[in-house]
Formats: sequence, structure tokens, C-alpha cells
Amino acid sequence: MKVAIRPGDLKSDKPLIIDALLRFLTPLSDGRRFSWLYESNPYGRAHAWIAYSVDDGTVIGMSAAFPRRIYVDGHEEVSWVLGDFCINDAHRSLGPALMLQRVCLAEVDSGAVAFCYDFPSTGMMAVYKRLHIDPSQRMVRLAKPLRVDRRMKAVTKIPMVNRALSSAGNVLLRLSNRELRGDCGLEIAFYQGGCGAEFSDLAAQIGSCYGICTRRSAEYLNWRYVDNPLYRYELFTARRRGALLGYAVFLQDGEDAMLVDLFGAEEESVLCALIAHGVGVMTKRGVQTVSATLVETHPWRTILERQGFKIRETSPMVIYFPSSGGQIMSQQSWLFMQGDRDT
Amino acid sequence: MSETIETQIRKFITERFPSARGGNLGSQDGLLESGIVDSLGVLDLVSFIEESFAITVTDEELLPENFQTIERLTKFVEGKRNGLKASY
Repeated sequence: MKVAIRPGDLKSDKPLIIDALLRFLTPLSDGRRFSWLYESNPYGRAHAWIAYSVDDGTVIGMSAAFPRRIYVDGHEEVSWVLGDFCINDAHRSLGPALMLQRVCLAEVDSGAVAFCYDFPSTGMMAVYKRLHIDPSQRMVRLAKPLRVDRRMKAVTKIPMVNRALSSAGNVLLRLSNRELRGDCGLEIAFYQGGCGAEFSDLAAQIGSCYGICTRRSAEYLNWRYVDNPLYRYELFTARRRGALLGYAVFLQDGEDAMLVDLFGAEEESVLCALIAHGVGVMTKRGVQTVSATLVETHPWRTILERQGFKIRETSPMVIYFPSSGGQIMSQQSWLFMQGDRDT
Repeated sequence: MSETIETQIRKFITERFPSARGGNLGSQDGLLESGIVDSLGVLDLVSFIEESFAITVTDEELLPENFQTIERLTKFVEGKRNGLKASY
């Protein structure tokens, strides 16, 4: 079977793209997801490429790129975060995947964007290996246990012992979390509704002071978190005398929660108070563990570690630049977290 | 010769990929669709046949028809080796 790649047209190929993603990638693929992710991004519509059989036109896979505006060294660059890469099981011989990825990277080489980045799965790393592209950074998941009930269930099946151990463990964890409290005149509050101009102002004010980071404009935050049809995010703000100093975005999924975004002036007390508040809310809800996935060299990683977050697994992050100047960028601090992924 | 190539490929697959170990892996059993060999596995498989049979596999040859069964893989390696011989 001869395979070819063509650019996807978001209008005419919409049903085909939704169907390919549903069959090869995620059960969450539907019209709402497509409309949000591909058509409504304030930084531009997505780009898609479709791999198909030349013999009968059957779609065998696809990939996509989602525009992002990134602050780099005090200025703004347009980039892509790559995602929605999928191939029919029967065609996972690397060839079609390589063809798809080459077409996408060729667009970057031609200057479509300054650079692109990807958070590849193990399988996708095979494609990058074959293309001689190494991970530029690693993402690390940090986790903070809030309760021990789940872990104790695995330790013993005797309900009474289980309850006793869990109670004792939970008390110890609560005591160790008490030191997270402490305020400094900050007002931490749950934020409801759409983000306004103050969020854009904060993003512009901070820019790339602490490293390369996504421009978190109000429009971007509203699209990425507030209007996201797939997940219900919760945003907490930190203010002093009413002025926005920072915010944290959490996502709860059953007994687990994630700190997906943390942003603000690098005043440790602000970031600590935001983390502590979110952790406190999740503790009250009975959440077992809060995780935070961020770039290994993230400047605020130590703040999380001081708050009791421990290192868990790591995963690769690939940054692809069309020019050699990119080498310098890949060595800089990246203020990237879970929220900087495609979905 | 063909049996030797097939035997070597079969031995590598059963040793390298845990899901190939259970039953008798047939020459025409699907390797990709069944999930016995994934993308990373294909890379391993390519490295193995390149080293073991002194051939080079191009990206264009990384197609399902060459990798979907042990039989196809054997024919592909034989074809590459014959091509090499013919070019001398």
C-alpha cells in the first residue's frame, strides 16, 4: 500500500479528522473538542496533516499543530505545540509516522513558525529517534500525598487495621501540611468567570523574566481553561490590596488532582500561598494525591519540592528549531507545565 | 538460507517482545495489528536486521507490508540481500 500525506482542510476534512481521532487516539474526540481545539484557539487555527492510502483514499493517521504565542528573551514568538498524532494500529511500522512528522517539521523549517515543541509518548519517541531528534528537556511529575487511605488498602486487606493505619497516616500528613499555611497579607480566592485584562497585564509584565513561557493572555486563559469542553479547571488567584499577583490552576479527577498551571511574580510567598490554598481545598475534598508536571529545569520546581512534592516519573519534551540559534533556547529555563500541553 | 533468516527473526521477536512468547508465533501472524511489535519495537527490529544481515533499511521501506508478519519480514530481508548481491 502506498501512503501519502496531505494538509488537512479544517472545514471539509472536519468529519474525517474527528473520526480518525476517535478511532485511533481518543474516545473524547467529537465536534465540541474539534471546535474548541482546532477552530477557537485565540492564537490561531490548528494545522492538520492526513496520512492516507493512495490506492483507496483510506485515512490511516493524522497529526496536528496548535499555535502558541511564547515569550522568549523579552519578545514574542509564534510557535506550535504538536499533538493529536495517531496512526492506525495496522500501519504502525514507523514509515507512515515518519512521513507525517517529516511534513510537519518541514513546515517549521520553511519558517511557518519560530519553533515547535512536543511531549512525545514512548512510541512517538521512536519516530524522533529515527529522525535523529533528541529530547531537549524532560518533564518531571512531582507528587504530594494528601491522604494515605489508598496506599493502605494495598498494604493490608483487614478493614480495622486499614482504618487505624490510614487515620494515623492522614493525621501525620495533615500536620506536615500545616507549615504550608501562612499568608503575608495576601488574599487567595477561587476565581469564577472569564479572565479579564488584569491577567493579560500580568503576563506582559512578567514576560520571559523567569524563562521561556507561553503568553498567558486573558483570551488564552479563557480558551485554555475556562471554556475547555473536556475538563473543568479551577483557578485560584493571589492578590494584595486587590492587585493580581499570581494564580494557580487545578484539575481534580476523582481522588487525584493536578496543579496544571502556576504563574505570577516570583515572590515565593505568593506562589507558596497559591499552592497551599489549592492543596488545602483538595485535602478537604478527600483527594489522595496532588501532582504537578513541569519542565525539569523549571525555576519554581524547588518551591514545590519545599512544599512536600516529591519526584516521580519523567517524560521527554522535544523542542525543534529550524536554525542553529535554537540550541541556545533549548538550554534556557522553560516555564512549562502540564497546562502548556496541547489539551 | 531462508529458514535461517526466518529462524533468527523469530528468535529475536520472541526474546525481545513479551507478548510474542505465549503461544507459537506463526509466520503469518500479524505483528503490528496484534500489538506484538509497537513503534519502538519496529526500531529495535530494524536495528536487529540491519546488524544481523548487513543491510540498510530506508524510511521508505518501513511499511506495514514489510513488517506485518515474520514471513513478510523474511522476504523483505531476502530481497534486500539479493539486491545487494546483484549490485556487486
